[in-house]
Amino acid sequence: MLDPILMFAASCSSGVGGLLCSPITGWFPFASLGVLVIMLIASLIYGLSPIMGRSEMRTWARLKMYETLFSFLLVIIFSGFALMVYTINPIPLFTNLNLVPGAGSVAAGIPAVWGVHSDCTQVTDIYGLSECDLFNFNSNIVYYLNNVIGGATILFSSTPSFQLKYSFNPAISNFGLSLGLTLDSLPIAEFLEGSTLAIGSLIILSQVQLLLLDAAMLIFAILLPLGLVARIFGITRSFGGAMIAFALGIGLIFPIMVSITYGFLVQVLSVLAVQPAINAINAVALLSDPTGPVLAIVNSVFEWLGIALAGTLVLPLITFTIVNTFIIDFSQAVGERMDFLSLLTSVA
Amino acid sequence: MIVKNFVLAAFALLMALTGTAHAQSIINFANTCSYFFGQGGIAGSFPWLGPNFDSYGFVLQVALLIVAMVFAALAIMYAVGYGFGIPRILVFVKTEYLESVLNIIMIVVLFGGAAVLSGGMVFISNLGNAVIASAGAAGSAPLVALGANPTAGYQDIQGIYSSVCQTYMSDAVSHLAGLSGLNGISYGYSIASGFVINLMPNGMGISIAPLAGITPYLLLVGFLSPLVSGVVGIEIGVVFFMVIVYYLFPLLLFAGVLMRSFPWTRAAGGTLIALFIGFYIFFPALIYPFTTVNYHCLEQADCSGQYILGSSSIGSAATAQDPFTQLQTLAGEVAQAAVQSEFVDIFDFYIFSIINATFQIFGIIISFVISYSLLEGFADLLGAPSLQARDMLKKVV
Repeated sequence: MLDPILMFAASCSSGVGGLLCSPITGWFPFASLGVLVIMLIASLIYGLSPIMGRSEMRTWARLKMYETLFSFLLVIIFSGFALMVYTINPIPLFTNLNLVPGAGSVAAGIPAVWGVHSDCTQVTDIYGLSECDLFNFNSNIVYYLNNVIGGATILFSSTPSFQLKYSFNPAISNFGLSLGLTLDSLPIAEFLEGSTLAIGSLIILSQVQLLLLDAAMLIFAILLPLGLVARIFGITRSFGGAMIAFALGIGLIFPIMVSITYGFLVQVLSVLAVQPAINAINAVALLSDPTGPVLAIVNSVFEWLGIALAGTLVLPLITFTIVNTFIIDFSQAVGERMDFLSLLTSVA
Repeated sequence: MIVKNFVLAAFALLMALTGTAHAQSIINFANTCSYFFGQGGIAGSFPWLGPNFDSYGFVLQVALLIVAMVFAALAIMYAVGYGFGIPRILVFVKTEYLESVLNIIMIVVLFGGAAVLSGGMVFISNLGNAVIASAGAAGSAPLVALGANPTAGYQDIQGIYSSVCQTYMSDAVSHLAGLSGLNGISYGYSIASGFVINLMPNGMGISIAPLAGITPYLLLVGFLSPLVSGVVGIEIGVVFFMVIVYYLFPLLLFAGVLMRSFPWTRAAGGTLIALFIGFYIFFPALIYPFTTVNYHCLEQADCSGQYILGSSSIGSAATAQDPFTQLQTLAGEVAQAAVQSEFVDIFDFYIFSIINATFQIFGIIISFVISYSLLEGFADLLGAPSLQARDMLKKVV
């Protein structure tokens, strides 16, 4: 898995983003030009309507001027908002909420292999933070699948068979006792195999989220200005509103939700390391209570499975539900109603 | 490989013979549940989870400040609409004015202290307990005595979540451990069923497998494995779903209140508030009564009379025992080679597992359905029709 810090080497803070990262200098001239054109046309119609004797055209022109001015106001507001998103560093706020892996972790001293794989305190924007959180979570789960469940499944899934024979008289064949056994898998092995399969499938969804986060910044930088400019013109006003809602939903709300939810999960993973189980496997524990270390491992397996299920199934559903609700309701308010998840299910 | 096989079988039998108290002393999910829901757990590391919701005062101040700003903007818009004669703006302002007043009322109610929140949850939980008790689980003492201290507030909320966590995690591991122990015994039956006496000198004679007919035991274990694995997975999933709800949904409440202050994000804010009400408040309160029955039966040697179905449906064994006591009995009966009573006891365990699993799954489903319906209703009330209209959550579920 690629380190998200490397992927964000071309972030807006380093100035490589160019036009995409400059909402004011990049798109403001287009918006201003569009507003000017519409205002000129509307003014012309407003001025000519008494001569033509069409009072309804006068009303129409006035309405268009108001709508255009409002759209230009939105351009100013959202341009400033986009500038804030690109320049404000969310790390201090999220650190105060203890949602940044690698800084002020809930349990200090936990080996990096079981908790934090990438220090998220080095990122400078919400996109980097969200990718770092999700990357840490995916790395933990994949590591866990590779090492703990895989090893335990191999151990428990051995299905040996054996046969004992006793002959009453070795000189005579088929005259004696025989005992044969072919063992099926232990229920624990079946449980672990099923868990491995489930989590191995669900981790794919988590990787899809990671790819979507990569695109979130681009979506925000491209679709938001596009929507704002489109909203200025009457015929593309609904489309523009939908694009604005989509850009805010996928480009901003989604990374924020991922930063919060997966930042929390990675901090929890740092606490629920398998160290208790590993510490339990020592000579004294084995001699005094052989079942203790194994049952401690079962305990840890349960905890990890629960966290893995929560992070690969519950959180994506909650996140996408909230993002889609935001897109639907906001697009309805500023333009045309847009249902993001319905688009996905139609494609699927 | 033979040595490993016997080690596995011995481990399974050892787990069976250790008994309830011993096993639960090892597989102690009190640590896990106390991590997440205990007063000394990791909740203190996340500053938005305070002992009382109203201690997070600055969110309340920010929300009221936003509403005040919205009032000011509405006043300006009304002046513009009145001065320029734009009726649409006047209608819009009148609508938004009422919504902003409703926002203030909602902010005050939601941040009115944990006593309001916990009081509601305690009432629902105790009501459910009363229903369960009247159906036959008399005498069961819940893990947490709710409402004993009305001013405890947040502690009651923690108590409900902690109780559900401990019950489901203990139930999950006891199911799995019990099945593992039973599987160890089935190894013995598999060996026995493969015992053959060959009396065929020089290829002519008889071959006898006296115990080849012990297949029903193996079939029962085969039926139980996927069932128990599924129940264990569901119970673990529910516990960690509640962890997510407990830690993250208060953030959704704060975000929802803030978003509801603006006209364009009002619906989204209503959705977040509805999610909080539906799953943070109602879901654990509804599921809690079901856990009290399960807890009672696990801790008691005798579950007769505690099930809604009554004890008469259990087999000829006098009672349906908890898994570890059951397996101890089985181990003794193997030594006595009492095959017939072993079959009945295994069947008792089978019935016990089915009933317990069905009860728990029904409890989870009923709680989820009711919480979801309430969520839809609150979302509609709070101005978020998208959840209901598109059945989005239904698809998600």
